[in-house]
Amino acid sequence: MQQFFIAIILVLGLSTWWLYGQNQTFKANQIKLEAAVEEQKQAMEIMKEQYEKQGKALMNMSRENAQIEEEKAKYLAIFSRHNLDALAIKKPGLMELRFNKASEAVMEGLEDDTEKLSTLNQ
Amino acid sequence: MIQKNLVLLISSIFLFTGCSTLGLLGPKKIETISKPVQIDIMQPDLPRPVELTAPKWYVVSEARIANPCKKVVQEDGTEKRPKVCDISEKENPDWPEGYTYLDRFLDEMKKQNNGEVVFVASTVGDYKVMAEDMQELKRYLKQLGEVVVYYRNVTMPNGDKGAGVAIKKND
Repeated sequence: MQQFFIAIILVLGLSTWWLYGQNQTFKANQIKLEAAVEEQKQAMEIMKEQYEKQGKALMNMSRENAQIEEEKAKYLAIFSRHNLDALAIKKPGLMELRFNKASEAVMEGLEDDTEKLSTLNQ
Repeated sequence: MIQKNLVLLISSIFLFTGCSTLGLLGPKKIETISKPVQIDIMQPDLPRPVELTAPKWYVVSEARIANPCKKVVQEDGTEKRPKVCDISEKENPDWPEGYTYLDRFLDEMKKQNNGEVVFVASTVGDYKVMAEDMQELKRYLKQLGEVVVYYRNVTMPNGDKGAGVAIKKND
């Protein structure tokens, strides 16, 4: 009889120890999973923030690009509005002045644009 | 005897299961700290700005250059330009009658090249093409600059312009 009770105690003890181990594993897993979920939430937040920033920067770039295209079209419209050949024949002095001023403006514009870009790091 | 064994059995069960309820051998609490860390992307030195010199254009035709008379002081003290005058009283007395833009250009070329007429000519149409090409190049440079600004803004770590981040996980 005594041996039977000892056997029961041993079986119960071992099974309880095994269950305890399992429980510990589940607890640890749950903690890890909760931490992973929290981590993912933070990562999502950062990604969202990053996405918004990139979106804004892209929008700015598109706006600037549209302005650049507009500026170019504005310059080229001068050629379509005027008959340069006829003007050069009739008023070469005036055209010479305009050509030289426009050339200078274009060169200065290019210098200013590249100057602005080169000082971004400062 | 049976009672003794029962007491032993129950106390043994409590002894074994008590380990789990007491929490003495409980799991260590895992501390997980997740925080964004900035990735420092080295920004390269940008190229120095361009230094350009504008070319001088000559627009030449056979149109006559106006050579007005020099201003003459009137009795009331004001200056007035007479409509007709001798060639010696004109603004440019060395210009012959009917002096054209072409004449002036050729004279200037001769002066620049020790009496020789040497120049590179372009048509009005070619000037237009060159001006259009220059505008196209300018557009390309500026738009490329905007792309540089974009990449710089999304990779800068500081302020509103920074977005270079990653996750640092501490277990």
